[in-house]
Amino acid sequence: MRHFLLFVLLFSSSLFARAVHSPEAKILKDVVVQDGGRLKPLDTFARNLLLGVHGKSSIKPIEGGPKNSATSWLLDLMLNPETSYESLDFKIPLPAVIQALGLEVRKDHRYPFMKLRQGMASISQDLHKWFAKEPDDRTRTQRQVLELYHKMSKYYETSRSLTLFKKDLSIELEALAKDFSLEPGQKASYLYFHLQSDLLREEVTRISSVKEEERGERDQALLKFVADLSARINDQQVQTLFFIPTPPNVVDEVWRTPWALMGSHDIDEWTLERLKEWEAMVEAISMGRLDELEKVATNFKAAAAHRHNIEREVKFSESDPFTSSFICFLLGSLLLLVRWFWAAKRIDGSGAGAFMAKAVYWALLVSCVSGCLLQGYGIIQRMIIMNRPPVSTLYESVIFVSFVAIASCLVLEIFRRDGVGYLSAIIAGISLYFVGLSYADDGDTLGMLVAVLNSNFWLATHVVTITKGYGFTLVAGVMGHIWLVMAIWKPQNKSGLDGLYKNAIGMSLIALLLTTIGTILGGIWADQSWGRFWGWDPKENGAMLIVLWLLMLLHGRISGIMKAPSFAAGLVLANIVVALAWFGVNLLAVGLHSYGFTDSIAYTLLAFCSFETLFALVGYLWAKARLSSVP
Amino acid sequence: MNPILSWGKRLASPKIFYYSLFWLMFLLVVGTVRQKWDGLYLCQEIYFSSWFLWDSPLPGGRLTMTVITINLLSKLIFASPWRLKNLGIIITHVGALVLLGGGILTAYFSTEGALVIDEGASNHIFQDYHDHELTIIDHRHEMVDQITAFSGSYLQENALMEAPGLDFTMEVLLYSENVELKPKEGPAGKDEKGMAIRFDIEALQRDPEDVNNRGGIRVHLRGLGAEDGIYNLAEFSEVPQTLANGRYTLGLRKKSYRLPFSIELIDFEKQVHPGTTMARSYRSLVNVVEADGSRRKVDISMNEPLRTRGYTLFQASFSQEGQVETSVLTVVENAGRLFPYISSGIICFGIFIHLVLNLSRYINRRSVA
Repeated sequence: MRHFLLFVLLFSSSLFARAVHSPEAKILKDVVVQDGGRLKPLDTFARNLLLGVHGKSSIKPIEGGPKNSATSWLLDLMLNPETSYESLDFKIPLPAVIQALGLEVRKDHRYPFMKLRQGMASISQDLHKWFAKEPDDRTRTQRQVLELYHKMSKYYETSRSLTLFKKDLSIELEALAKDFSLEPGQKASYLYFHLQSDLLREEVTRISSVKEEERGERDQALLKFVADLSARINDQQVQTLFFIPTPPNVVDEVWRTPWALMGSHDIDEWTLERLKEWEAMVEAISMGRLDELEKVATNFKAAAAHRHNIEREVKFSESDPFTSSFICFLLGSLLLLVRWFWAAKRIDGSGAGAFMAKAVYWALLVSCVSGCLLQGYGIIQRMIIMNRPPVSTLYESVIFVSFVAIASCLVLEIFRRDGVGYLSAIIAGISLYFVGLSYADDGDTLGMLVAVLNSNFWLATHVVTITKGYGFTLVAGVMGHIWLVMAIWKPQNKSGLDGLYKNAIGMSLIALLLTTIGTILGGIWADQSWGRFWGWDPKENGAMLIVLWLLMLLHGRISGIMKAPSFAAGLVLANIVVALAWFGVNLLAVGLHSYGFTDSIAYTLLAFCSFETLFALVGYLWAKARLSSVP
Repeated sequence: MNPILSWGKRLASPKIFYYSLFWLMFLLVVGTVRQKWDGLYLCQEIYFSSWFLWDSPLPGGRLTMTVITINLLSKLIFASPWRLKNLGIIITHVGALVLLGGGILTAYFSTEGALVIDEGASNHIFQDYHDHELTIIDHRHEMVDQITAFSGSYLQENALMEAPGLDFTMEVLLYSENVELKPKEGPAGKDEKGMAIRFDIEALQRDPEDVNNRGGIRVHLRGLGAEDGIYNLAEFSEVPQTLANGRYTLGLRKKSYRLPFSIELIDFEKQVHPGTTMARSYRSLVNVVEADGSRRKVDISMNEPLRTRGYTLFQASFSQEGQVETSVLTVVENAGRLFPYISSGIICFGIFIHLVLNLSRYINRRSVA
């Protein structure tokens, strides 16, 4: 037992290990940037970008050691793009995409950026054709290749964001260098020369009027230098990372990229100051002068303002409460097994065994309650950061349903005290964590909403209530699973089965209440917003389907058509109904609710529905046979 | 037993409810999935608003819901055990009946259509999204045009259209919600007139997208002497079909309704989230102009419709051609609007009462182990 507890301790500490910020990342992680229509910390931008291309929000260094944070990786990418292209592999688990690029499929699904770039270049003609097509006319592979192309563009553009601040340009000829107030060979940034563009322009105009053979050493040197500058012209296309704020007196909400500002000749004083601060920060990082970096960064952050909830968001991302919650439930699952198979026999005894058994009981309670509280904490933090109700997107609905399901299972445990509540909470917590992960991979989970979803009272109450209904239905479904397993495993335990059956009925009644209210509130939202209560939209139909399914089960029981085994199997199938209403209808991409991107989840959904159908069918037949064999 | 009571009890059987729900769910699943290919309107017509499916004896959504209504009503009258512990269930059933009653009202007494207004202009006519009407505009009078419109059951094969004041009749030979105009390959028939001389209309399957449909009709006109014959009319035709030296104009258009007030579009505004193309809000600033000329300024935006005189006007879409911005408002008039509010309150109260009165039955402390 001691060995087991030691294993649990080591296991959980390794899971709780966090990525490490570099000293520069620590200072710059909370710099505000504008992305996806909102202001967010650089840290969030970095996490989303890394997650999008690499499939993880931190990165393991090749030389080993603790994982690097996303911000550390991003700063390295922007300051040393050429070397970074080699050190990070894109994660592409779609062989068809790799084959379309003419590359060899790798078992680990990881591919270097430069290889992918070559692949994209080799099919540039096809890319043009695919872009020209209507989205619906593109094949699945074409769509996925174009998605990869967008990811690669974003990655590449981001990597070029700071190139204008790097001091990597110099003039060797003394006569020319002096004209630009530089020593021969002294390094200066693109920004430095851009600010002297009038002088450059004058000189180029003058030289263009001089015959080639009459041009002197200075003229030749200047033309070569201008050619070097022009080589940077590609970077001027960079329009990804918007981190130069608009001056305080300007109404425009759109922030700028530094390269976009290079396109204008009349940069205002305030903006120029910010650009110079970035130049100083880049210089300080490359020279390893952290004190200076911190000083300039503090100035920049103060001038940029707009810091509402930025620190909170950084802390939220770093604490990652949902992963912590998942770890708690993972731990809980181990403890529950120990409780059932070891501690339950010793709890009423005495001595060290009983003490350890009690410790297991308490540890299980603490880990499950902590998991629930962490989930709730995460939801509240998100609400504060985005200043909106807990559920507005599919991802948010997943974490909220998870919270509701876990909380209701723990309440059930208060009444049962036999571990079934814990088991249901653990199943819900772990499975929905993975569902949430599949949505988190799509990008910023704190995204802005389209106009129709910008909150009003009825929308907020509708989605919160209906998702609570999803949560309770799923818990009832989990109880259906447990009932069938119990009936097969211990068919003689009539009282236990009867108790669980009654609990499941109670849970499905609560689920019915919440889904009915939620569906009706949805209708009221529709009436308030669009003047009609019901429009037969797929999402509306999906919600009604859950209500009808629960009604059918409860009336089937009342009418005597359904007995306990078929009712339990019906509850298992209720999970399919919820999954279809929740995610399935979005695959149809029709109606007012078709806002969720769920293409990638189609196969998972199919697998889930097949598994649940099989479970319900086999479980029902087997449980019925086992029950009939018991006198 | 009293035969009424006996039949009432049979009709109140929960088995009827159980199997009706099963069938309704089947319709709901098929009707929802088919929307991907057939569009919402057609699926609504086939699966949810129909009495029978595909002209077969299989019950459609309306018949199924009628059966459920009768079952619930019978249960309430003949088979409700009037005891305290069943109070919640009885209340819930009453609420469900009110909801279904509201649904019937909405199904038969509601209208919905689009009010299209250019910036700076005003409009008081909104047009149905799906239904057509055949119009005959009589230009006889100097100051006003008199419009006679035929819609609904008139737009069916062999239907005869006649009206007081019209000196001709029309028989429908073909009508389709979606047609294609095809240049005639051979010579025109001797009865064919107007557009029918050069173009045939061919009925097509209805497109799931409303905007891709173009209604068309072929009629046999009688009573105008030399102008008697077969005419083809199609929606959105640029050339009007005139008759009797310009006295009449025939046309096919979306069914139109008149608002008792006008809406003048002062300004349309679309806001996006900064740095993106994602819409943050749509907003139409309008003047509501009453018949007596009085006007009031109203903001109609996403989730913030205008409700006035039984109509709801909400921001549906917009378009921009050159400098002209056009706002599209959807107008809804629904006689059963309040029923869902009342019924939802009753249903929620009923389920809640049932839970409270019966909670102890479902909480069980007995161990599984």
